[in-house]
Amino acid sequence: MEKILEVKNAVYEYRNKYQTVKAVNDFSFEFERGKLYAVVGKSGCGKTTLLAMLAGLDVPKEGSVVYKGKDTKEMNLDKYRRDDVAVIYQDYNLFPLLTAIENVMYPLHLKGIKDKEAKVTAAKMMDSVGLDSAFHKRLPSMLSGGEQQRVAIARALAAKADVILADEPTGNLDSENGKNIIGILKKLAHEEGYCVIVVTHDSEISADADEVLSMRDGKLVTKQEDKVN
Amino acid sequence: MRYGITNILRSLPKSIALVCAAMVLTLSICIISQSIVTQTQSLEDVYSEYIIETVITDQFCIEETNLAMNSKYYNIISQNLHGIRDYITDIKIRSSFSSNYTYMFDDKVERELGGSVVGLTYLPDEEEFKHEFNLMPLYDESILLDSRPSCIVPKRMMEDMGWEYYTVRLRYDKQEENEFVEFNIVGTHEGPDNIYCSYESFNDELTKGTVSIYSFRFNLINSKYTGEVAKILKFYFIEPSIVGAIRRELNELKILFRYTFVMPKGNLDDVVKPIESDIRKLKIAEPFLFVLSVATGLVVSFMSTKNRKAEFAVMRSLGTGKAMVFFEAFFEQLLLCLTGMLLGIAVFFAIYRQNAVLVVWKIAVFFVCYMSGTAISVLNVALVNVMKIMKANE
Ligand SMILES: Nc1ncnc2c1ncn2[C@@H]1O[C@H](COP(=O)(O)OP(=O)(O)O)[C@@H](O)[C@H]1O
Ligand SMILES: [Mg+2]
Repeated sequence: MEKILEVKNAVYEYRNKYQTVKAVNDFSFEFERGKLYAVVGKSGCGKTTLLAMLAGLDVPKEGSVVYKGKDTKEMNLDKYRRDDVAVIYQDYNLFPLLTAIENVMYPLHLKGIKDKEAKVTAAKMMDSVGLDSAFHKRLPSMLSGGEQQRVAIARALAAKADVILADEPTGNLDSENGKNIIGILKKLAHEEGYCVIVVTHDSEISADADEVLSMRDGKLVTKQEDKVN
Repeated sequence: MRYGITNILRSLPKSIALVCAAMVLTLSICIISQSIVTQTQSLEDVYSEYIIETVITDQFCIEETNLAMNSKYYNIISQNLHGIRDYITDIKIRSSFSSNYTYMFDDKVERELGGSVVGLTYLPDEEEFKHEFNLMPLYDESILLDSRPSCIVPKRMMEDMGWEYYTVRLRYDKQEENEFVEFNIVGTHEGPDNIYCSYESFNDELTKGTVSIYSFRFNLINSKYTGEVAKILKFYFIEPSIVGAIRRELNELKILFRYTFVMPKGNLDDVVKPIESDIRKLKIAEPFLFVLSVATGLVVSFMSTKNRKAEFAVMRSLGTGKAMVFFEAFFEQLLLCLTGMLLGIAVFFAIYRQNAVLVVWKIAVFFVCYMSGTAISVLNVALVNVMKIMKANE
């Protein structure tokens, strides 16, 4: 499989007046297209920080994050976030005053796609996560958690990124909805060829993942190959 | 931009509150500046309607000495010392007195007439007469004007002469046969009540008042200049407050301080003071309103954006540039502020109708103040650290 995202000896520190916390410490890994990765570990071990670096929210202090052979340090991070990666959050992070379909259209508008075309594409994306036109005009506050998370996934898909990052996407969902979301993510990796990286506590995701990355104190400790593949 | 408009429309109550804030402030600024304009106008009206006639007279107020006012004082005006001409108008040097004079035309006819009015008593604008006006050079104590002195002669005399003379020779003292001085004829009279001259004020000035009063007087162009004019006059004359005191020093013209000026202000102060104090208060209030605008802009947009940090962080995480996020947030506030301003101005015009005076620069200053307040709080949310977006999850 094609290597798409590579982390090389990445170090990330949080500094405040009193201390410096090495949240990610000498982390190295290569991510490939078409695979679902699960990142697991105790709370505070640096999973979210790792994901943030992959999402291009910041760059590592030392080492590098390399996307398709290019160091994110040398890239325009705004453009990277707009075109190359998409993030799904535990608490969905939809725009509260935009309707479901408008939320999905947002990244399309960002890319300069015209309204009409954006609408068609957004509808298609919503369809692919199982939300029909009845959901289009609803505000996030009128959707269940599972539905909101699906809108968030549709929004992530609309960006046409190669990499989908998710930080505990099922954390706020009941098990049925969680399963549903996992199903979608799995399908995206295996059928559509996305590189999907999920931070999770959910053992079900870990079970379904192609690879499980276990972290401790900012370091990668084990890498288990999924038994099925 | 689309995002901003959608947001405004979908959070209407909040938007209306913001619009109202901007509207109320705009309206207050409009009303205060309107009040300043109208108060200033009424002050100007009072000042321009109030005629202050300044009179310069001899300190001792004796008839004879009154007549002896030194013509050098005329220099103050003719040479525009201290720029006094900028402040005064209707300059008059007035003297009318009865005496017996001998007139002579062309060395031929000599007539003696009683009760004549002699002397030009008004200093008109140059173009009002064909010839120049200067004080008679050798007559330091004269009240007669013109390089060749002017005078007004009895009408009957001119009729006798067939209106053909423009100059006349006049003898002051009957004893001294050769003491004739030549005058330009600038008008005729039939006694002190009927004087014909090319300029009406002549007539007015010459016929008004009692005989034998000599004064050097003028009006202020605008009564608001009392201070300025008094300051200039103090160089030459004794100021009203110390009338009675005898000053032995010389004034700027190297003449003994001897004449006093009187500048009766009447009840001008009573009328003007309250208006001035009103204006002063309004002008103090005004900058506060601008400061208030900054504060309001800041607080109002802070309140309306403080819960939206996550929203802007999401924008950033989706790849919207920093500047664009700032612009989106700022644009919303801008739109609300502009709407409020327009409404405020509309209400203002509805209240004041055709009397409304909109001081555009003040509105502009308000706008800048308000928006800079807004910008501060918008910056605070728009330039959110994107890493924080992940933290919201925990
Ligand atoms: N903004 C921050 N300032 C200081 N320390 C932080 C900050 N964010 C996270 N950390 C610390 O960094 C470490 C890793 O955090 P995080 O990546 O959020 O862990 P996880 O997602 O695995 O729970 C933790 O010890 C946490 O306390
Ligand atoms: Mg986390």
